Amino acid sequence: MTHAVYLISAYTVVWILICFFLATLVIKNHRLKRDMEELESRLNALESELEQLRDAS
Amino acid sequence: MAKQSDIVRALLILVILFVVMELALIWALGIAPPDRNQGDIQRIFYFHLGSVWPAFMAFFYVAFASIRYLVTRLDSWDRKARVAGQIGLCFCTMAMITGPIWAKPTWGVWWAWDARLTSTFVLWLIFLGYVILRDYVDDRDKARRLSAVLGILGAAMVPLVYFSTRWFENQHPGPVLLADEDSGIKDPHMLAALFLALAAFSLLSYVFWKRGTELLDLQARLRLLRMRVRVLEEER
Repeated sequence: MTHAVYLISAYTVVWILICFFLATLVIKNHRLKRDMEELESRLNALESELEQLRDAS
Repeated sequence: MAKQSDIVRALLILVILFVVMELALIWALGIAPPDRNQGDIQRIFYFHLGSVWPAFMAFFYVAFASIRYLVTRLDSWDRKARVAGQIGLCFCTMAMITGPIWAKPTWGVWWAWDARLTSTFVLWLIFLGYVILRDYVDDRDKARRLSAVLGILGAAMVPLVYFSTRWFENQHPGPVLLADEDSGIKDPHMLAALFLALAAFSLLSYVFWKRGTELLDLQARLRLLRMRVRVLEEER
């Protein structure tokens, strides 16, 4: 039983590390998605501004 | 939109994954009794079958998404299939590593060229080809089409791998799930450990797939953004 407890503890540590890695991945992807959406909206604004300038000239 | 609820849901799934995997570890290594014939070495079986199952599911998903890609020609289906193929290959590799570790003390050899092991090896090779194919074909559309066809062919091999223990003489044990009445696991704690391991590994593969597709989607959007910026710069 003692061996099982050691094994379970060792694997638990590995699991904590993997879950921590996955959690950072979730958060990083979320931030990346947010930044991308911000860039897309800025680019949309720039494109429409350019379109207006082109029409005015 | 990148909503706050998405990240909360993703983190909640991670918490569930952690709890289920912990329970699987406790049941597989602590609570489930050792096998009558094989002793404690049999405990690797929970992780061996636990990694085969998500691999098969991932390969079936590759076929599904590849068919959807060939019908609709939408890149998003190709990306989903691609990530599923990578994850299936990872889990299949895990099964091919845990298998020989289990085989050596029970059979006395690391590997036997019986129908189950050979067909699994061929399946693994097909999906290794599937994963690296895109790097060797310059034309992107062609690479996607070829990958989709290879993915469908690869997934068609999964039933052969599964039923190989019934159709041919094998050293490998027969099926545990959907088994005959005289075979399979009967002990409730062993069954609990098996189902917990299956649930944990399936959830883990889903989490990997979700993050992988998310990342490829973001890369595709980034490529599109770069193209639009280039057009703007040229016009300036």
